[in-house]
Amino acid sequence: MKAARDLLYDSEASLRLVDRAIGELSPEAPRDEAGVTPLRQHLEQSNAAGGDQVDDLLDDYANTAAIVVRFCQSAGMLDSGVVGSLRPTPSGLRAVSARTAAATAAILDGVARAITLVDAMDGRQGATDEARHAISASLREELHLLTDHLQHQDIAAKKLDDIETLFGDLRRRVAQVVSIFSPPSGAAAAAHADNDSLAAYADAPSFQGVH
Amino acid sequence: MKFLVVDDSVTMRRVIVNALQRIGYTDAIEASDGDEALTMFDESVGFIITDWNMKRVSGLEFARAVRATPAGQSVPILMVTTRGAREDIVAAMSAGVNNYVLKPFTPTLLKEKIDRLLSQNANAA
Repeated sequence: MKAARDLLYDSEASLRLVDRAIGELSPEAPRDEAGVTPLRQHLEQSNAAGGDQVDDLLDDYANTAAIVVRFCQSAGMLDSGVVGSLRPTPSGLRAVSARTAAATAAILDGVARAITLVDAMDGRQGATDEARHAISASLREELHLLTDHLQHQDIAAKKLDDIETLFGDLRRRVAQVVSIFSPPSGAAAAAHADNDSLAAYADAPSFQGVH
Repeated sequence: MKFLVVDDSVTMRRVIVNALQRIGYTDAIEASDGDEALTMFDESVGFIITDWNMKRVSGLEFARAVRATPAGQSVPILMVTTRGAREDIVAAMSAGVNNYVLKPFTPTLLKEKIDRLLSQNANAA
């Protein structure tokens, strides 16, 4: 198997050859007096001279078909569902950040109010029990409200868990795509593992004429 | 009434228990996931408050398991979650959850939900 970059480069030339071959096999293609198309004539001359144009053409065609197969496989791995699930991620992160900031501000405001209430209690040492109870009730409520704001810690943790799961899934799929286009060296057998797929493409009506 | 509070977040368990105390419910036991909660659940538990996303046994699995026990047929289950999508709510109800509260919540909202479920349970009995 060629390197992916070389394969892509060769594929363009292969596709042009295949396109030309298909064109010349059509009934409308220009022919010489003996009814032979220029391509066939060229290939026959080349073979007679010991060339291997036909083999090259078939090899390049196989490589091109392999590229198509791999594109099809990779498209399935990075389907629209994955792309769609990534779309709300930035806004989700911004929401977590904004909520955390709001909760922090609310906690700081609550602490400031609680301190003010403690100061008020200090300033009313001689006040009635009723007045002191009113202040302590307010102080208690402020302290309870502080704990309510701590829910945002859990909300942020849950959102980050979701994002971690999403990125884990994305990383797995990208790794699969990478492995498809860059099979490990020495894994020639793996390169031929798609023989069935290649055969299916090779048997497609559009290409049968090339053989 | 004894409450069973199930959440894998220590922070949330403390927030919920704190809120319960503020609205007058002082008897609460805590579990860190559905698996542990199942070992703690018995007929003495009168109300369950559970999270959805938890390690090991999730809130939905826990709710289903509770409903499969004789003692868990009618106990009210309130889910506290960040998941408010319509399909999530339908899935929760299908699992046996009676109602849900979205985070962040206030003790007042929690009290409304608890009172409503207890009232429905009393009427059904």
